[in-house]
Amino acid sequence: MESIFSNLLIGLGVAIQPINIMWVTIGGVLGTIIGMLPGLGPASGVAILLPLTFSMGPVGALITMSGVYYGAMYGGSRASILLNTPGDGAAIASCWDGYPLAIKKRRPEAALAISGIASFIGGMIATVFIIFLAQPLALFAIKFGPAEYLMLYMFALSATATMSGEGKVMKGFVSMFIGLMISTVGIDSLSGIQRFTFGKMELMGGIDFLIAIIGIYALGEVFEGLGAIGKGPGKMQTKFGKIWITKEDWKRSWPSILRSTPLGFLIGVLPGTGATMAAVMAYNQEKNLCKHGKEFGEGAIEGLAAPEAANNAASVGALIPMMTLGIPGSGTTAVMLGALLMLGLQPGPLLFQNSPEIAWGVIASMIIGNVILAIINIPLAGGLVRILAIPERVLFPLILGLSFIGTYAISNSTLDFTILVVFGLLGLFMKRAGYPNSPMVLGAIVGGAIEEKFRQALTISNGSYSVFFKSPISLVLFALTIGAFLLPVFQKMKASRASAKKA
Amino acid sequence: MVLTVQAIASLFFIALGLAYGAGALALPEAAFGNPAAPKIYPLIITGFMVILSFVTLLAEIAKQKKTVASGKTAKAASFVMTDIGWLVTFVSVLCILYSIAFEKLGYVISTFIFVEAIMIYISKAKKIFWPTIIALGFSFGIYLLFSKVLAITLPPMPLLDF
Repeated sequence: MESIFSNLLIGLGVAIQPINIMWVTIGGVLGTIIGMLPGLGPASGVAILLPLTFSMGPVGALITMSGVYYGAMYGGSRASILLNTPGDGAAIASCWDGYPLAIKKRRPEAALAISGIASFIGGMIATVFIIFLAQPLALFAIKFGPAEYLMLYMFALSATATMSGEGKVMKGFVSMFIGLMISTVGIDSLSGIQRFTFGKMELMGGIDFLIAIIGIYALGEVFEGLGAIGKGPGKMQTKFGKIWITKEDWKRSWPSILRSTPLGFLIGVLPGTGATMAAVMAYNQEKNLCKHGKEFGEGAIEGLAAPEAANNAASVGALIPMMTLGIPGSGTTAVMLGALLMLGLQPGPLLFQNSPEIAWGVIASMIIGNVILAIINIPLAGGLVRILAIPERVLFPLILGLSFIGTYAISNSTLDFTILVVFGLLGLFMKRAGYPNSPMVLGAIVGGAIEEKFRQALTISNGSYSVFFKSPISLVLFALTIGAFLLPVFQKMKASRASAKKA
Repeated sequence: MVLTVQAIASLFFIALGLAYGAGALALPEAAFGNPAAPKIYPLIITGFMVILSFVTLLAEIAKQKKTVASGKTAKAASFVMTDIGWLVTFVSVLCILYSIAFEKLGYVISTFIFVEAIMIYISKAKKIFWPTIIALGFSFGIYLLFSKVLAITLPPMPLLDF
């Protein structure tokens, strides 16, 4: 416990440096804007903004990217509340009561304020959780060998595929294997053999997964959105009174916020679930638990407070597996992990041991970041939401321009522009056919590490596959992986039994 | 079976898996250690990819049967280009042209043309004043930010060191 506080003090020392306060502010503001704009989510936002972090150093880069991530959670609900269009997936549940509260009940000020307040409380409490959980988890993860890591990666991937949504589990797994395929292109680091390069020099270093990510998320979203240009929501309110809530609002909301935060955090920590699921589950939980559950859908303030607290807590929770284990649990943390590897920083258990100032600096910066974001998103919300008035016909060309400059900054080669377009079209095709993108992104990022651990473990055991089932940690992770595979089957069986009983 | 988008996707991914597997089998053997080591992982991926894509195809066929049984018809994918299809094709071609012009014309000119062309095309704008101002501001602004502030080298304009 003592070491946690001394490390936190080290982290605070880093976080309060003016340059780092500036990075967290920039990250938070950009994240809020990215979250607000439909078509740009935190994953594509972090990928596009990546070049901005090149000159920051690892601490600044991680602080900025985290700021973008949880900033997007604050911003996402603005479009939900005012336009009934979620700025990103995690804000979908905020439409259900946020929009009716703003429009039907004519209380947009209260809706904007409670979403900011709930996000702030959710983010702050989750930061306290991360302070106490990160180090013990990192210490535990040091015990992991190649076999345990392989099982952990497999669990993270299968959980992500399983959580792809109803009826999409198999498609989630196919998407995951496409990602793993992408990761095998290039020179095999252990044998020096070229794989799937077709003799092209440019492919020998492999397909840069960051470029694949920008292609899938940013270009894919723009291609998808091209069909909806001009069909978007109409005009929105841009003039507001004082953005704040009444005592009665607070009395009704705080229990929902406190109940939803731990739930959101826990869901965020689990690989594959993410902020969207956290928000939806928190909404459903509150609908059942709170006194005014019957008002849900009609503009109940609790119905907005709960998902907002949960999605912010989840975004903080999702940083735990990325920072302590080095495995991404969501699309956005996958992009962050990729970006950090590119910057020469290896997140994982040793990060806390070897570079406590980085690990704890980032955690401490979340406290400052949440305060800054609360200021931006509550009193200044009236001005900020004007960004929502930017039409897609202006926005899309600019997103394309940013995607190309981001790609050029990563690879310094225009040949990757073609790869970018190919992945954009692949992203569009997969979306149209109902294949989720996140498992593919995760597969592309951790695929190389999976093969490396697989072969390392086999080398250690002289080729015996029993190495994967020797330690209790491996066995538990293997059981969880099988559980993730079978979960949808059980759910389907349960649902069909229930419907048979009804009939 | 009706060739819906989902069915086409399943068939495409089966073909992709098989082609990948053929590529994996054709890989040379490692000079040291286990000779088959570079192939094992790609072959495992192949196995899962083909089986799972086949399962998605079976699921699609079952879904179509259910749809037919309920008196409806499954919607076949259309191979006729729609407006959106043209839009995506146009933007993709412009992206490729942009990649060719990027180093030849320099960042500012190529980006200005790229952004303006897309903006005018997708908005079907008749007046070019605002698209021109936005494209100019974007190309100059991003150039200054990246090359001067972030010290990332971008292709300069021909004949000018800017």
